Amino acid sequence: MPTLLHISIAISSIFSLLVAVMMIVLVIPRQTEIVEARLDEAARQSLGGLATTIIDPLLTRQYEFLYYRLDTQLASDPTWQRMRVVDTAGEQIYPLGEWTEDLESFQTLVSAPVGNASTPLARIDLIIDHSKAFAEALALTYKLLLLLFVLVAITLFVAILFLQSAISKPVRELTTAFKKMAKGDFAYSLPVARSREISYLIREFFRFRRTTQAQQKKLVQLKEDAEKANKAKSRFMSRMSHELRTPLNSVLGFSELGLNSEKLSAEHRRQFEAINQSGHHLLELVNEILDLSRLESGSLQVTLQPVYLPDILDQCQSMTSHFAASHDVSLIVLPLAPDVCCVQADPLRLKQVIINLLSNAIKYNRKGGRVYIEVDSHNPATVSIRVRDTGIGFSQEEAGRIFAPFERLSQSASSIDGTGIGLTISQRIVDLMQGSIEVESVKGTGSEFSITLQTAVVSEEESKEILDKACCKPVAMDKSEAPGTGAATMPAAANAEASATPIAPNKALKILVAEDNEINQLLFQTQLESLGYHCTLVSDGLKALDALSANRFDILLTDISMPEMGGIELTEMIRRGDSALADTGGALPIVACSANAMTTDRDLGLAAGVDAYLTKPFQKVQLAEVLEKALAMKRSSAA
Amino acid sequence: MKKLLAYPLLSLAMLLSLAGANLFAEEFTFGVVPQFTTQRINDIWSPLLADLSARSGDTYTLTIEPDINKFESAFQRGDYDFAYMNPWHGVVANEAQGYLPIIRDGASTLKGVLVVRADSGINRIEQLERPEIAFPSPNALGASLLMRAELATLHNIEVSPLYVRTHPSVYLNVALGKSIAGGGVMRTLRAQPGEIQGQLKVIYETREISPHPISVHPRVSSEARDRFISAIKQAAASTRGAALFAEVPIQAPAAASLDDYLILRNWNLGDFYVQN
Repeated sequence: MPTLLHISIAISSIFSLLVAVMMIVLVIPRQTEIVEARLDEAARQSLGGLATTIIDPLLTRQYEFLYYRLDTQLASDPTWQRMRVVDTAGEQIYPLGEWTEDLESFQTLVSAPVGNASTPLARIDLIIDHSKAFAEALALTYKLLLLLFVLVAITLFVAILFLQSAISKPVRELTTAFKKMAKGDFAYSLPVARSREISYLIREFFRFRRTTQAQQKKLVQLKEDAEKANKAKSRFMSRMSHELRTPLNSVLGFSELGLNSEKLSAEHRRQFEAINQSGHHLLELVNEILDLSRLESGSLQVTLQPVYLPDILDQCQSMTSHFAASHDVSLIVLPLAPDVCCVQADPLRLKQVIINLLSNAIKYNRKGGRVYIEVDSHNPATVSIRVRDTGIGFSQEEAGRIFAPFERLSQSASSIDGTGIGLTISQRIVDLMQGSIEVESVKGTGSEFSITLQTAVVSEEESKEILDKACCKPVAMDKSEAPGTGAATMPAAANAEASATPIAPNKALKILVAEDNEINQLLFQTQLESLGYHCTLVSDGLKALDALSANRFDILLTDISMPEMGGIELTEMIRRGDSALADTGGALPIVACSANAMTTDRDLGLAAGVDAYLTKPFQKVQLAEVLEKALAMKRSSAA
Repeated sequence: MKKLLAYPLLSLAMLLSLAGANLFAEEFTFGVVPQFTTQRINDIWSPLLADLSARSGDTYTLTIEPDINKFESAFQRGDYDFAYMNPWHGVVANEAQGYLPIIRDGASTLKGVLVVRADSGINRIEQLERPEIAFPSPNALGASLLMRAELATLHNIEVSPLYVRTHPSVYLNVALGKSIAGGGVMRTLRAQPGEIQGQLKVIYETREISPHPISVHPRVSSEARDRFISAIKQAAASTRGAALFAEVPIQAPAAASLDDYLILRNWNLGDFYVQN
């Protein structure tokens, strides 16, 4: 875009050019005409005067005088080219030589009678050459033109200079001030205005900048406040999660132990089951609220990678099959198209979402109902995973608020346990995975939820790799990383699995448990004993160090939050090896067991050097898996 | 006693003359025969007289009459202290006022010529049919007086003269065909531009006489006369002075005497002299 300076120069040039063209086209020809007429008139008058002076020599035939007069006249006036005197008889008196009347350009023939006009003695002809006069006039005009040009140029130059200093320069500086302001510099000095308009502009900019600065300050303050509040909320959530989980650990642990007891009357069994289910429900609620808060604070991250769908669906099916069976609902996975296999997703989170949809489809189904899982890809770039049920369904109006938190549909739904934030979490997770979730439903006939995700483009080798990876079942520790999934969601299934796990007593494994809560100490002891292990209990980190220096242990189970010395500090001490520990200090397997479910707690623990992290409340089966792993490590190191 | 006084005075005079100073500076009038237009006469003579004045210490003031008649009247009254005039004037002026010729051109002589158009087919004076012949003025010596006298007395040709004041006018009248013939002098004819000379041819020449003299009035002291002659000689020796004299025209100033011109009295010019 042209600058003001360029525009002014262009306008000045055009103006000057116009003036020049007008001068050349209009003024100069007219001027030439006028000059010619004037010169001719002047010459005619002079010639008339000259004619009177030659009357006498003509009459007396004193031709020398005549010649002298005319010669000197011609010599004195360079524009007078030649003259002729012809008497009444037509004889040429002057000059003596030949006479030519041919006229060149800029030459004119002027004649005057000699003597009385009515009875002239002779006629005098004069040929005048105006070319020199014209040349001079033209030169003068061009000089004037040049002068005009110079004057115009100087005037315009001054005007441009003024424009430059009065408008362009301040505007440029103002632009810089804007840029600086955009980068947060509110102190950049403003230009001095030389014109009223610019002065207004600068003044208004100054006000705007001041206001903006004030607002920015306010915004920064607000942001800081909000961040503080958010941190406080996160702290609160973490704390609440911990505080709720600690008693829940006991509730679930003991109710589970109770249920496993064989000396239980039918009445007591029902009561234990009620306690256990309510505990699980409470845990689910805590987990989901925690998930939601993490989603809202943005601390829940997903890692997108190619995910092999058939395997994920298989796992989801197997994890919900017991739940479906208990509700008398058939779970049917429709065969996948061969070309559909991988999507871009976070595998754990995708599983969480599908299980949530499946459990909803089971819960809100009727007896003998069906749940279909199908995968299709109408568009090569995306894959849709549909969960269709033959349940109660919901209306179009209800579909609009189904993803809102704590929204539970229909009166009948109140009889079905659930938190009402499962779909909210699912939707947000799918959003994070750059997909979308949609719902269609006909009241009384059923509903269909479909998740659309981006297709993962993978090479053959990669897909093989994914396939291989998918074949390995995720361990219990991985499950614990995804609260809201697995056993917590499926209490019935978990119970079934737990009871199915064969107990392999191994008294040889020396276990040290650091736990300050007496009830949880008792739970640890009971759980480990029921698994066939013996353990040594200590109430804090310092005592754990004492125990470790006194005896050799194969594994350390430690709580994170303890008086005197916490689990993190304890782990650091052990890993640093600066206490009088047994020689296995550096290699001692450490499992952190904490009610702190926030990712940050887990990260802190792993950074300190723990080998595994169990989130309370955990199930006996998870504990058993961790211990089995530790045993396997012991065996391999012994070998 | 007288002798005693004369010596120092003589010595003083010699001293003064040696120094070139003129303690007795005088003013003189200088007349010129109006053969040309007064303008031209002024152009020729003013610088020359100024030069001579500077050399002699005297002042020579140019006095021009508009025509020859007035000039003749003037020298017959003795108006001029010095005068440049034609030879016949020299004789007449001597008779009237005692003017004495002192300087003339030593390099040429005065000779009257009769010219016709070169293409006229006329080669002899006998072929002149029309009697009208152009002359400068009645008493112009070579061109008119001597020519008319010779045509009448020696050739018995009667002419009807037309006086056109100047020699160039005579030649122009002939060249333009206005007059069948014209009287001039060889010297002025040669001074005409080639354009004019080319159109003319001479069909008759008069006898030779000494050219125009500068005559001096007897009232001018011999000292002043000497100073004048000496100034002329000095000027003629200088480049600038010689150029100025050439314009007159005098090629080489030389001493003249009355004897150079007395022959004119024998040629019966008086019969043809026109008195005012």
